[in-house]
Amino acid sequence: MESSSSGIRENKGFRFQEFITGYGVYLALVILLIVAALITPNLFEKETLAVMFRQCAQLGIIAIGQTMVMLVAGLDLSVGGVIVMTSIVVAEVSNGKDEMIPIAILTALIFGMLVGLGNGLLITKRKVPPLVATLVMLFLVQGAHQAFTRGVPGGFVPEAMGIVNQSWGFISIPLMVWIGLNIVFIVILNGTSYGRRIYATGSNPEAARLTGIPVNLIKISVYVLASGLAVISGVILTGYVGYVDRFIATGFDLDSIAAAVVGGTAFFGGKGGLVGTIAGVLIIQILSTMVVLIGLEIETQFIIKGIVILAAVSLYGLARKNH
Amino acid sequence: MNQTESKYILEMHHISKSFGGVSALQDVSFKCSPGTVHALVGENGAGKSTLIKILSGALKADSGEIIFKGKNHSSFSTREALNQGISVIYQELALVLQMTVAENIFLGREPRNAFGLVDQVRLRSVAQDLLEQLGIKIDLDIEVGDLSVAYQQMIEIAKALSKNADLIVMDEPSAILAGSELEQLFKIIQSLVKGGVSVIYISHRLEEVFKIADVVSVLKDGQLVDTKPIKELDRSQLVRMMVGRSLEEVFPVSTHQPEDIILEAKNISTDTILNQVSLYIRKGEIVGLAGMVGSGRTELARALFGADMLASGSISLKGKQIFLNNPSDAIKKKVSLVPEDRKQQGLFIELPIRNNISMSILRNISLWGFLNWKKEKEIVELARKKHSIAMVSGNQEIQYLSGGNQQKVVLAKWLQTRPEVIIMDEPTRGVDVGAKFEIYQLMRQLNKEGIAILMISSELIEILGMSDRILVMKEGSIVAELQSSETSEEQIIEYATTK
Amino acid sequence: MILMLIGTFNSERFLSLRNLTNVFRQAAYLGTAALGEMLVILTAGIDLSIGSLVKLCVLVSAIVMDGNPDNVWIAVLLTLGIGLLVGLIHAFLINELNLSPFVVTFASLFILKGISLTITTKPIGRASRDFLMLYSQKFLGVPIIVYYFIFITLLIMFLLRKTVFGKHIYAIGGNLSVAELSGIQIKKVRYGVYSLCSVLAASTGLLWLMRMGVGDPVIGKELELNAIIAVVIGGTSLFGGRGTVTGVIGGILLLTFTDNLLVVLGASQFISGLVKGIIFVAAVALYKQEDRSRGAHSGP
Repeated sequence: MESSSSGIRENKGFRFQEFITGYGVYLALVILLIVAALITPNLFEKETLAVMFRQCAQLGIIAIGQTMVMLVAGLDLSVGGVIVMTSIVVAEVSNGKDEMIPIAILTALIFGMLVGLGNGLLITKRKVPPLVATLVMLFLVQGAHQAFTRGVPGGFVPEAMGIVNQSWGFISIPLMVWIGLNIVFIVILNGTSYGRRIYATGSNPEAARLTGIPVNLIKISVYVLASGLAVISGVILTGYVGYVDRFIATGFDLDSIAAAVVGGTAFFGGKGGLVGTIAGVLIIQILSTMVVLIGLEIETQFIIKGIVILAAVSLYGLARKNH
Repeated sequence: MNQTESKYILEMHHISKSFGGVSALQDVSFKCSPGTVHALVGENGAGKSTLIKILSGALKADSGEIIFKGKNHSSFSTREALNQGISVIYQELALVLQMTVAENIFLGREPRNAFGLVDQVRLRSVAQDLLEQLGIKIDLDIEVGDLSVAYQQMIEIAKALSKNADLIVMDEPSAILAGSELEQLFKIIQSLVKGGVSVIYISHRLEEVFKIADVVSVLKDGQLVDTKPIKELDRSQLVRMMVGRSLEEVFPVSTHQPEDIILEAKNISTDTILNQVSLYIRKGEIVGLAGMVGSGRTELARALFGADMLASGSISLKGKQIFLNNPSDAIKKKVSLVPEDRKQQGLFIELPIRNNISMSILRNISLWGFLNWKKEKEIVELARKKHSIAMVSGNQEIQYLSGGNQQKVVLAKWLQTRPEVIIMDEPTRGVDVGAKFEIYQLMRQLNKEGIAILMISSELIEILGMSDRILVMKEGSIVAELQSSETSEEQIIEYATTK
Repeated sequence: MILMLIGTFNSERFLSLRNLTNVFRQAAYLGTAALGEMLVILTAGIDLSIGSLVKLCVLVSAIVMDGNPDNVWIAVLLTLGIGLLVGLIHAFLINELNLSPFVVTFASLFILKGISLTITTKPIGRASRDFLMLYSQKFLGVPIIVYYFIFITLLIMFLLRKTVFGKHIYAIGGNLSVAELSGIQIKKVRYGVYSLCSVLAASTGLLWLMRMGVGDPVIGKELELNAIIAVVIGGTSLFGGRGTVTGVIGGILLLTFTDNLLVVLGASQFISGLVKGIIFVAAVALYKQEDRSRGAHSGP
């Protein structure tokens, strides 16, 4: 028989594990910064930082969506395709005219959300595993690009979009957008009932259902949001690049997942958060930049990121074994 | 090693087992003679499943030893147990649904030919023989998932037979068999026994026990009451062995009289075993729902909560018919369900306490979707005081609380929705004595406030001590309605197990 | 599933012998890898790394062979050995660290890709001439590569239907806990299945070398996805336990024919992606309706 009503289970290991799951990523970030300072001090130069922060913002916006999707035990691999789609749509719709920018962005958002809706429906109503569902959507989206543009990107990107390149020191518009979105979504996830329901859906869908939470609806909404965020990132990217390029979005899917995982969000849902992801984004981006600065070939980043994901998942897995 | 020809094929000595501080088996000693049918009976939670799992190697006993065929086996693995000749047929069928009948029978032990390949010819012919022995006419190539549950069970029996077991344990084999199928089963058991195989037969259906068993052992509250040849007992004696106990626990007395009917179900049936169930619950009343495992109690709870769809029948609340398509509807109508398995269905285990408590009433603590943390904190604090929940802070993750406190959180969560009807499925399972009493007191308090409670429990003492009325379920229907003051454990068991 | 096969032949308009030969040869590339992927999926697992593995193998084999006929065997053995090693590592991580196959092979995809691209980003190495010739060589009018594919198909079919190993694969995918209780060695089966998948993928790399003549790191793009699509439209359930080789072959052929048709019609690569996506969605929608709900609930 249990000894008393007040049994809080004594768990010697729990402080250490709590530490890792709660704060490990920040520790890793600090260590990484120190290492960076030693090996590649030029990381901290103004120009490098500026570029890096812009890339962080780009990745970070997508990572917000990816984090939320992972919180409901899902995955979104279609983000790359959505970004390219945004590019194409913006260029086509605005056709170089500055006044058309808002409409172009709006159109892109609508398309993006449709993709998210598709993802969500496949996953909830047809029970397709998220990996496969979003990959298939990616295929579809890419196919649609080709069908539409026939290989030749059309339209022109309006000049005014270059505004995203505005910067003061290393603070740039993308960075501000990223920070702004982060604040918004951190508040949503932690401070609204919607956010609570997201965590609940990921943590225990059956219990969530019995508590009256519309599980399917929550999941679909999260995928729609993720795609929407991808569109925003795409808009920024298009503004920066200035033209439509099929290949601008390579790597964002992996990187956003890596960032979320490193930041403590688990693949099985219910655990994690945006604050960790921010640190994750920084870590991933710093690593990528370091790779370039050290002079390693860019391709080694794949190896590094793959190992990082494995390491992060294993560590978090071990630390959480307490269940 | 002393291979003396023991009289017994199986001896289990002083077996004890606890789970997290709660004792499931205490010093159980049990002997089975070869070539006999040895029945094992006891109410829910008496420890039968635990004992069997230890025997099969799925669980390890904390102390005690097992001697099978003269050899000591204190640390079995399931593989070893199988190899030694112990075969268990569980209630939860161990079949791979997508594979065929023949494949399932030989799962893991496929006969091989010289090249290490599956000997299809032998597989099929042996399987065919087995099925004929059992008198079952099934196509060997049907996917097991396409069969009815009754046939699936027969396949399981064939599987056990194919393992050339010396001891076969059948855990509620007849639960879904009827009439001629049951007769077939008995014929098979009898032929097995003639061939020297021993059968341990677990069942709630006492008349079967009397028909087929040679010896019966009774477990109660984790202890062995006695083992006796069946000839020396009659039914009422057996029942008394199963349940007779002194009321040690004190239950808070009911000070309240039930009022009007608040919830009424008329002839509801579902795909999940419920068959024409009708009942009513009154305000301020506790209705106890008793029945054996598999009788449909949880299914009834789910149906009343909208978690399962009704195939027919209706539910009315305060006289008006209501349609529950999902739990959300039920919650809006002020009906709550405290589920049976809090880990799987009731709690968000990695989330903090306050998230768990407030999950059903997020609307109440938020303005335009934004959470009011202060309000939430107040609610948590109130709940903590009201239920004496032992916790460090509202931010603590629920997984760190003890079972009793976790259950309190679940209750607190559901009370937040100010329900008028609460369905509780095993409310004190895995809860220590102190917390149990607090929960009982809570239930009385709720009664006083006019809330109706439907309580499902496998502890008959609890049902008798807390309920005003008792409904007994069996195989998807309600078979009896009793006044708790006028009935006894024996009577309830009678109803729950009579054919 | 057989419907799929018939469907492909109906849509085929260019039934010239030369074209057909090409198509079947083309099918061997996707097919070998898809069959390997099927094995893994049957155990309710997945292997996302085969595309990158193929990439790596093409490079390694090209570099080692370096145009020298004496090196052919070394190159082949080494490449297959790499495949074997990768598969074993996958299974090891899944078995011992309890990581999900998705995570392990997802990370592996990038690690292998990284290794490949670090070695080179431009075509490198050379196949020896006689190795190259294997691509176009025919026996009785049928390309040798197609014989290889048929051989592999029969091998896998045999493995799944006739061997104990095969039955265990289905069991693990069908119901893991029952399989465990029945005494099936889950870890061993996993080692076998993931190794086979990787080795088959490695052999696909060799096939590519035969075709390209050099080690081009561009190879292998989206192979894993195509393989998975082929497997799924062929009727294999992603949750494991269900699927036939004939079905997968049907899927492979359907995809290959579609590709071929689109190329002949002048469509581009992305259109084929679009079409494949649509086929996949259709297949999933159809099959999910067939999928039975697993296991009756026998609750108290």
